[in-house]
Amino acid sequence: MKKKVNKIWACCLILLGFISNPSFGQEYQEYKDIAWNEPRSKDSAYYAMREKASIPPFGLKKVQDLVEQQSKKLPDGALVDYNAGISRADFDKLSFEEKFTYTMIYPEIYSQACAERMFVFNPQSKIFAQLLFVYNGVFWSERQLHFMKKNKKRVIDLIIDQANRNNALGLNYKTALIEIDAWESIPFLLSFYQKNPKDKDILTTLLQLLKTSNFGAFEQSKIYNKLYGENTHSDSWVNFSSANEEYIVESAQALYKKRQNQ
Amino acid sequence: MRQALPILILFLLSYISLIGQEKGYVLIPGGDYQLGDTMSLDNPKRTVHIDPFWIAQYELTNAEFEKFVQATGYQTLAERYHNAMVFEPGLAEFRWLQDSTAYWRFPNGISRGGIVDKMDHPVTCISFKDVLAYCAWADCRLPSFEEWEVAARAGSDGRYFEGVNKENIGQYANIWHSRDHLKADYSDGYMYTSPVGAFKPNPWGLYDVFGNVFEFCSGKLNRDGERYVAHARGGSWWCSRNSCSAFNTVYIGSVSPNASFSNLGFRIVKKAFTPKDKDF
Repeated sequence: MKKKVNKIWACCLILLGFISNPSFGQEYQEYKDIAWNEPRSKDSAYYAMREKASIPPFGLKKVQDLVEQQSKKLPDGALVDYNAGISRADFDKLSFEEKFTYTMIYPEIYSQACAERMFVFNPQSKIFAQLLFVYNGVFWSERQLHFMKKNKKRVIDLIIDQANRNNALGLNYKTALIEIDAWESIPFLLSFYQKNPKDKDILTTLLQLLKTSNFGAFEQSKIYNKLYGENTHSDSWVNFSSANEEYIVESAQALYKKRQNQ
Repeated sequence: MRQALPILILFLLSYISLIGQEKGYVLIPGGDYQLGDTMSLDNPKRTVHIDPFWIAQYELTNAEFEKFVQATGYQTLAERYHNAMVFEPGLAEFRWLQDSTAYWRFPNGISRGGIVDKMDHPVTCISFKDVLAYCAWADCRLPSFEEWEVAARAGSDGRYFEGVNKENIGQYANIWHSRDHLKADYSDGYMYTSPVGAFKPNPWGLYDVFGNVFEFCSGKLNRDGERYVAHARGGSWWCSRNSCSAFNTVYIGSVSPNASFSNLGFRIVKKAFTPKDKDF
């Protein structure tokens, strides 16, 4: 009887030792609870709007086919997701509008391992210093940026046309306007904001244009200090208020006049 | 019953021998840990059960990666496809340059110098796929998101491990201290990577969990969808308080699995261990 008890003890200890060994169940993960401030649906909806990109219609199928063909040519392992820029010859053959479509939907180079930003409650009542990252892990290449800068006026016109047609200014369009320093688009942005006051990222786009222009008065302002000053970061924001809105609108108008006269 | 006593002692001794440190590795105790943050969609606050595991004290160095290359003749994606991304002062925030000459021996391109005198720095300019190849060869693995976070927090339930805050993090992490990236920042002695272990460790003895290089982890986020996305944690020498502040235990970075950046590296975890498994 004693021997039997001892054997049972020994078996229990061995089993316990096995379970205690980290090699046992290494992959096992279990969330016992989730303590998470569930975003309210209207907050989530606003975030979804903030990150939504616009898809230009110009030669869309042709561009998608080109990229797909290019991806098929590439050896597995080299280029799985974005990063498959089409060849120079193919790029040059595209019309201006098709190049625009290509650029807006297929950024060609990698961007670094930045984290998705932290969630902020009530984002619809905030003005953010920066737009969200336009593409997850990728960005426009030098070739694509060069194309947009070289054709600045036409790119602005296309964006305005598409935004007015669809009554939406996607994150990629806003980012493109900032990238090409499209101060010429300020009147459009102001009127589009009047029609779409829920989209506070239009104010952010104006702020970014002001910042890029090193607009003296703006750089001395309280709002600049709160959004881009010494102790700020890419997630900084200020509360939306009529005063802040008015200041941004008036500053943008002043910048437009100033640059028009230069 | 008395005959079972030696077995019990043997068991306890063998178990106790696992608790402590093995050269180059730290044993992270198994248990339930609170991770995440209530305001993070990628990493919500929750309790996670982790089994014990050994994690490297240091990020994997150039010297260690060189052994792999010498043994296998492996060529990284950056060498094969000339698609690496590099940094030089003067770039706008979050901007990197394509440099066809860059790979792990010249992580910021040939014109910006190589690693001959930096063999004790973390290997960089390697893609997630290169890291998986290394792990297959060395019979190790990457930490999961949760394992990395448990090890980095070292028992703290905050965004940083105990003793660290956004103000004093420079004592523990090689990060970027300037307002922007327009000029070189050598204020902590290093613009790019530093030798592993050059800064203070966390309370569990892990060095460079924040800063130096983003460390690849295994795992998938909801927002990845069907895409194959690699993830890395802890921030890097590039990260500043005014940019992403990614040097914390909450953020989970995303990057293409084919991308090679000079601020991306890794730290390994032993695949499995037994009490006899002392020499990895």
